Amino acid sequence: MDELYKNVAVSGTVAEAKRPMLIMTTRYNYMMEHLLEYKKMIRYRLYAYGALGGGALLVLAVPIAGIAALFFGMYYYQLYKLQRARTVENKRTVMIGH
Amino acid sequence: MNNKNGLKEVAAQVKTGGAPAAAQRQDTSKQPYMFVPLEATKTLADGKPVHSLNVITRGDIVKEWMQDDSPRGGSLGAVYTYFFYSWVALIAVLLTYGISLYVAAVFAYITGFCWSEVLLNYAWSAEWFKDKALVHTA
Repeated sequence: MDELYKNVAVSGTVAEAKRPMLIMTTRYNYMMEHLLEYKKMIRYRLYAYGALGGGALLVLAVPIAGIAALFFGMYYYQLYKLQRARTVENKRTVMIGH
Repeated sequence: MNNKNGLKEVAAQVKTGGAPAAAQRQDTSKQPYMFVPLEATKTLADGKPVHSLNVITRGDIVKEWMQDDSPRGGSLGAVYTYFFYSWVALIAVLLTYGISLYVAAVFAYITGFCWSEVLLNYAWSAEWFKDKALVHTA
């Protein structure tokens, strides 16, 4: 490659795209957008651990309530994992200017 | 009409009966300008290469800006943490005030310290971020 064009690369985008490829905003707006998801993650984790603990306590004493609590424990555990994938384990690209 | 005009400008002219449309004012607090040196070959004063655009993932952003594993590090999570601590310390002041003034004074110091951390962390992790540019994929 010619030395003059060493920083030039071939790239492309879909012309018929109905939404922009990149969205420019501020750090604050982006943070507030995902803060709600992060709070949901914390809330679902609390529900999951609470329900699983309650289920373990109740499953022999009040079996029907214990089984229901264990069901909700795993239900919220799945939601917790979903929220993790949306927030702290997300691999979507973000570019921040200094 | 010249070739510089895009479809939007032309459409606005048609709507306004041929008069050029007023330039739209951009709210720079919502979409601040981001200048990126595309051909930066020189280095900064300390010898580091020019690096004005940080390309990372959302997960890293959330961990760095919100997660609160070490509140002293400073993040939006630290605002919540110190807000809670400051109210706990304030209640402790009220509870110990009638028992020992010296113990209450210690809790008063902790209350003030925690509240100052709330203000500092909010300033650097929320207010300051309102004018900082960010680009993310749709």
